Amino acid sequence: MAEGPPSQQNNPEQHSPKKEKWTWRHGFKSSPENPGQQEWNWKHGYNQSAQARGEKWGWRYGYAPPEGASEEQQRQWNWLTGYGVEKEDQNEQRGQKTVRVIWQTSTGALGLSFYGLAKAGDLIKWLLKQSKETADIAKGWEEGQAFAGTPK
Amino acid sequence: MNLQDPLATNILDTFGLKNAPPGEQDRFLDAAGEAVLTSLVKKIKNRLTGEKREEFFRLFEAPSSDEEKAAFFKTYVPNFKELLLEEVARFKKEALEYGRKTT
Repeated sequence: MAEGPPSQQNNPEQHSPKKEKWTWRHGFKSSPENPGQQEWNWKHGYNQSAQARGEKWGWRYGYAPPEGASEEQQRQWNWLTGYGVEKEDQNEQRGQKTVRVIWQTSTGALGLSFYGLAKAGDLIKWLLKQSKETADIAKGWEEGQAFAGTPK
Repeated sequence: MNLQDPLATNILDTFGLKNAPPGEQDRFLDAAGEAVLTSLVKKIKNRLTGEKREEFFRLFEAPSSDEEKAAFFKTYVPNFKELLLEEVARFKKEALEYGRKTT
C-alpha cells in the first residue's frame, strides 16, 4: 500500500521553485532540463486551459480513464480532476500538510476506530469502494463490526 | 445503484474501474481519498474559531501524540465521523451527477 496520498509521496516543491508553480500550472511546460516538471504538472491540478487543450481526463492524477470507458465515465474522470481545487490561500500549505498527517494518523486517534482499519487513509479508501447505505455503515461503526471485505 | 443514498455507490464502478487491476484501483482510491480528505479538512478548518483553528494546524505541524489528537477531536470536532461520511457521500453524489450531465 502507498504511504499516503500521491502528493505526499514525492513533494513537488523539492524540484520546483515556487515562482515557477503557476507557469507550470497554466503552461504545462516540460523540458529535458527539468525532468520533474511533468510529474509535478499532473500533481498540481486542473484548470480550464487544460480542458481547452484536450488534456482533461485523468490529467491531474497522471492516467486516463480505462480503455472502453463510457462517455459518462469519461465525464466523471473529468470531474475528478477539478474536485476540491480552489484558489490557494494562506492556509493552503498548512491544510495540505494536515491532510497528509491525518491520512497516516491512526483511526483511534481521530475517534474513528473501525475494526481492521488502522489508518484514516485506509478507512477513507474503504468507504469509497463500499456499496453500503449510510445507516448500515454507521450501525456497523457503532457496533465495531467488520463488513465483508474489511481487511483484518 | 441507490440514488437516495450516495454512500451506497461503489466509486470504482462509477469510474469504470470495477475490473481494473488492484494496483490501478488503489492508485485511484489514493487520489480520490485525498480529494475527500482535503475537502474534509477545509470543512473542519472553517468550522473552528481562529484560536482553535491555529491549534488544529499546530497539532499536525509538530509531533504530537495520538492521545493529544484524540483529545482535540473529541472536544472540538466530536462529529468527525459524521463529517467524514458526509464528505464521502458528497464526493460520490457529485461524481454521479457530473457523469449524468450532457456536454
